[in-house]
Amino acid sequence: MTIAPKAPRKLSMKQRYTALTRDLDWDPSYVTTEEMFPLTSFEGIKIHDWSKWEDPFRLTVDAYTKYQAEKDKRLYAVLDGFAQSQGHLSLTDASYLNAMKLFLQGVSPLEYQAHRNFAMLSRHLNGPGPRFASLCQSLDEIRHAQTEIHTLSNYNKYYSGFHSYLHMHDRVWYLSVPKSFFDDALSAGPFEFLIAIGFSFEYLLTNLLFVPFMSGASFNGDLPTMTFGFSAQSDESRHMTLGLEAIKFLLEQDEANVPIVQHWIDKWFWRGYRVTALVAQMLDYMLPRKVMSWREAFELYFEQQMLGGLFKDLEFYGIRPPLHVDKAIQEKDYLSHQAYWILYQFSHAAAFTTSVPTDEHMDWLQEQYPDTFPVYRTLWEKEKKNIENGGRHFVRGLPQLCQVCQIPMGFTESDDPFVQAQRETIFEGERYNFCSDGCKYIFDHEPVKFRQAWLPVHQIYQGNCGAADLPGVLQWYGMQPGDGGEYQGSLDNENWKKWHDMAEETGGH
Amino acid sequence: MTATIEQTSPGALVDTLEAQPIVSIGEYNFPSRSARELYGDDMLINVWWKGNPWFVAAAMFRAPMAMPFGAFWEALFVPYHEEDPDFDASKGWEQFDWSISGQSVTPSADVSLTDLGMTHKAVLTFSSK
Repeated sequence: MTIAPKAPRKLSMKQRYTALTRDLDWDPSYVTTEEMFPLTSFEGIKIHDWSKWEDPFRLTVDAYTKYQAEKDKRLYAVLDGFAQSQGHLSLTDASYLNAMKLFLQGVSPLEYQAHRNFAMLSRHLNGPGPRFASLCQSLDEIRHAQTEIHTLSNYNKYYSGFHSYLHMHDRVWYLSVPKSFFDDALSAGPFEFLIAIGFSFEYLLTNLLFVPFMSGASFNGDLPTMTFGFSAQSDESRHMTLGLEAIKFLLEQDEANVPIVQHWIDKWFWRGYRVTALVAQMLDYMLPRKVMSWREAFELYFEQQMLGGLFKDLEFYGIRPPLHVDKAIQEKDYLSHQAYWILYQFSHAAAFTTSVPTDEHMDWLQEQYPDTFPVYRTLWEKEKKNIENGGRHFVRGLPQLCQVCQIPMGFTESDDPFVQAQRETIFEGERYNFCSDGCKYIFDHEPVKFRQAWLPVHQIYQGNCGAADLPGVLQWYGMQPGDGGEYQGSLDNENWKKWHDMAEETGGH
Repeated sequence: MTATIEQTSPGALVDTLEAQPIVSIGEYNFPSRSARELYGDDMLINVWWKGNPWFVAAAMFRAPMAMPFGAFWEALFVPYHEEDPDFDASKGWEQFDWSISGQSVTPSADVSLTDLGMTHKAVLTFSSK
């Protein structure tokens, strides 16, 4: 008599997850734990029980990849349809793409860097739960980098500024802002990286960074980017959960972790917030059809959701809101104006274009910022006269940069919109300049780290950027005619008009 | 941690910050990428038109330490600031109040930038009288 073998017992998703992650963990016997995980003690963080980590992903790799593949199929179907139907002509205006150029040059390379560091964490964290969570986020990030590049590559066929974005990311002055931000995180220890990127970037500031770009796409006829945004949204919510889990895990493991984590929150809030200056100007100035003002976005996504929600919860652990948050709140009324004014007068050295806001646009800005925009309006009115007289405000030189955030030092004192803030520290006989108390605070805690900053202006003057003159530096940047400068009359603007005239003549065919 | 900035003599700066211990997996002590020595006989100087938002930030120039102020005015200052339609170079530098690190200074054509009090990455501030 033969007995039929028992059918294998089917495990639930949770059981499969446990079997394939937690149950594959082991205690080392040939080496010590410290030898196996050499990176998790030097930062001073104390972890007593790694099994307490709750993994928000709770997926197996096969389930994860199946789910992501379905999302990719939908995205690539939209990309194909958009390309085949010349969908780019249905954008609100070619100038909208300046926002996407900034996104591709500044943000997509960060996704790749996040992929690399989360992959590193998936090897180096002691616990199987956080290792697996890091692995999934690493896969998410490489997928985001790839899908963003694919999504925006279609525009590269028709518009300036989309080529050479990786080359530019490593070299161009305004891209050193997001690049140095992430390099700072990559060169930190694993726990600081988790707070820097997992918590501050992915949780505290993610809605301010990500949602405005995707909403802007939606409002301006950019179906592919909007679809990418939807595709990434579910991943981002997992990343937010991971960031929150990371901070709660560290805080619950040992009280001694609290001051370390608090300092990282103070540092990384301001580091991340300064990067959002690029988003602020994008929302208020680069979108032909507006979504919301920076001020509204800041109030909704940061003040209400984070200060009013998250930090109330974190009080329980002894965590307070980040230092210098009061300055960020003050700046919501003028940050975008100052950031765009910077980009406007240096866009001859950028791979995007800028232009004086139209009267209608300025009226909208005045509605949104009744207390502050009138001051900036006087500048735009002066520039309009300048243009009528044959000028165009491109600065004939290089600006002073902040040693930490690397943005030209154009942010003003709170009480005077015409006086830029100047802060400085003298360390080992050398002077360092900062745009704000927040950046000075960061430098003063790690001067040996930040004195190494690769500041574009200082490097140009050292002769490390191809040439000492602007054309030579632009060549070294990899820029081509039409990439930057004034939008009106630019290659993109002229092509846009020509293509729409042609479409009208042929009845849209 | 911080203290008032002092300048004892041209070129000699007093630290306002003590070295902070750095959290690192190994020895970590790398030099500045912007040290004055990297610029030969030159230095980087910031020139800030305080109260004029036309220029969104102070300008940074590379200039010889021994450069006379008059030459600096002609070769670097005027070509840069002429971009503001309201700037009138013909009125000379006397149209402005000048200061370095909060200390009032009086430029003259022959005084060198160093003798005026400028040091590497210092801010030469000027504002309309």
